[in-house]
Order: sequence, then structure tokens, then C-alpha cells
Amino acid sequence: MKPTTSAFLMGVVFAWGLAIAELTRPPKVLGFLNLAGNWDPTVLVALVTAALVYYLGYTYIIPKSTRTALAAKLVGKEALTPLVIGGAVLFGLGWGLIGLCPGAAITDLLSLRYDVGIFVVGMVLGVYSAKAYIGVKPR
Amino acid sequence: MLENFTPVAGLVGGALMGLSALGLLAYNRQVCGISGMVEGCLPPFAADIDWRAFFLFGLIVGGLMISVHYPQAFQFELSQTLWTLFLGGFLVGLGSRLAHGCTTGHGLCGAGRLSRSSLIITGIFLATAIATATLIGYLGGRS
Repeated sequence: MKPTTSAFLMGVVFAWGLAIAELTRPPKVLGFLNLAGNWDPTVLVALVTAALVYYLGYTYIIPKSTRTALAAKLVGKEALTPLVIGGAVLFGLGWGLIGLCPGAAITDLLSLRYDVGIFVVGMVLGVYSAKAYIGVKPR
Repeated sequence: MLENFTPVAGLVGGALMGLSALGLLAYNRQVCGISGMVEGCLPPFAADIDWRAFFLFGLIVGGLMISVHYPQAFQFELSQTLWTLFLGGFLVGLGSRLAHGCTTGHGLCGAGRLSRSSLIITGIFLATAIATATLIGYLGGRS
């Protein structure tokens, strides 16, 4: 399979997963993140299931050569520097504020809503800012 | 309490996301990190921009396909002001890249590989997001 074909198909399947678990709906996500409201752990079930499926496949199906190639790619991305920790906090603030993470926001673009569009414009600018900053200041 | 809980949908949706990320690892030898794909599609472009762009395109096409059968997944209200939406998006974009990943890269793939740093980063952004949403919910009554 061509890399672009497989990536496209996996994107399609990923969107199905997001939509079925309703991670595409910020009120559903905030229903999990907001412990003070009518708590709904669906999103937690989806995240844990996804990680568990990945763990099982990674451990028992993915060939060792692929795992080795992946590990080589991830060298230097594992350090918990203050910038990395701060980034995780900023991400959490934004996610908790709106209830959209990057995959859900991009999938939601299909509805051509201006409010989702504004979130994505902010997100792209944020990604670009980080890229520009890290570009001049390697860690 | 728990009246909105849809555990079967959570299980099925989560399994599909896990399988998609596994497929990307098996066929493309890549981590399924969506914020990283967005980054690669911004200038200066990543050398391997193709698969990233096609995955993101697949997200929208896949969403369109399922919206025919399950339109509810895309029906919601956003109560935040436009500036708050912009700020939230900016924080999500900036934070995910400074942290080298988001809910997919760290929360799904990293945690699934039992990477120590990914588990810690996921714990930090999950705790921050829960604190933020709970505080806003507590103050504003949004649920």
C-alpha cells in the first residue's frame, strides 16, 4: 500500500472512532473533564480503550524491526524539560477551556462552522508559534 | 449522574482509534500524532509532508462519511466567546507542540507504548484540563 493511501485510510478510520465516541462534540468531552457537572466518563473509556488496543498491537503484532525504527525516530523527544512540562500544562488549559483536541477540531471542520474555524485558526497559529520558537532555540 | 454515559460507543470508538494508530505504525512506521501532522504541514514543510496531509484529509473525509449515518456526532453548541475559542485553540496548538504531542501522540501512542515520559505528560495535561473544566463548570454552571 502506498504511504499516502494507508495514511488516508487510517485518517478515515480515526475520524469514525472520534465520531462514534463523540469526541467530536466538545460538550461530550467537557462532560468528562468537568467533575462538577453531570459526569460522563465516555471519553475516558474511549481514550483507555484506544491506548489498550495500541498496547496490545504494539506488543504482540507489530514486528520488532518496526518498533526499532520507531524508537530511533523518537530519540531526544522523551526528555521532560520545563518547556515540555509547560507545554503539557498549556495544552491542558486549552483542552479544558473548550473541549476540543487537535484531531477532533480538524474533523469538525467538515461542518464548516465559523466557531470551529476560529478555534482551528488559533490552533494553527499556536503550532506555528511553537515551531518558529523551537526552530531558533533548540532544546 | 452518569445519564449521558455511552460506554459501548466509547469502547467501539476507542478501539477504532487504536486500530487506526496501529495501522499507521504498521504501514507508515509513524506515530499517530495529529498535532505533529499539523506542524509538518506548516512551513517550512516536513520532507514527508504527504502522509501527514493525507491522514488529515482522511479525518475530514471519514467524518463526512460517518456524518451521513450519525449526524448527532457533529451537532453541538459552543457557549464560549470567539476570543475564548481563539485563545483555547492557540493554547492547544502551542502547548501540544512544546510538549511534543497531544492526546494522540502522548495519550494514545505514547501511553500505549508505556513510554514513561508520555504517561507523565498525559497525566499533566489531563489533570490540567480536568482542573480547568471543573473550575469553569463550578463557576459558570456549564456541564
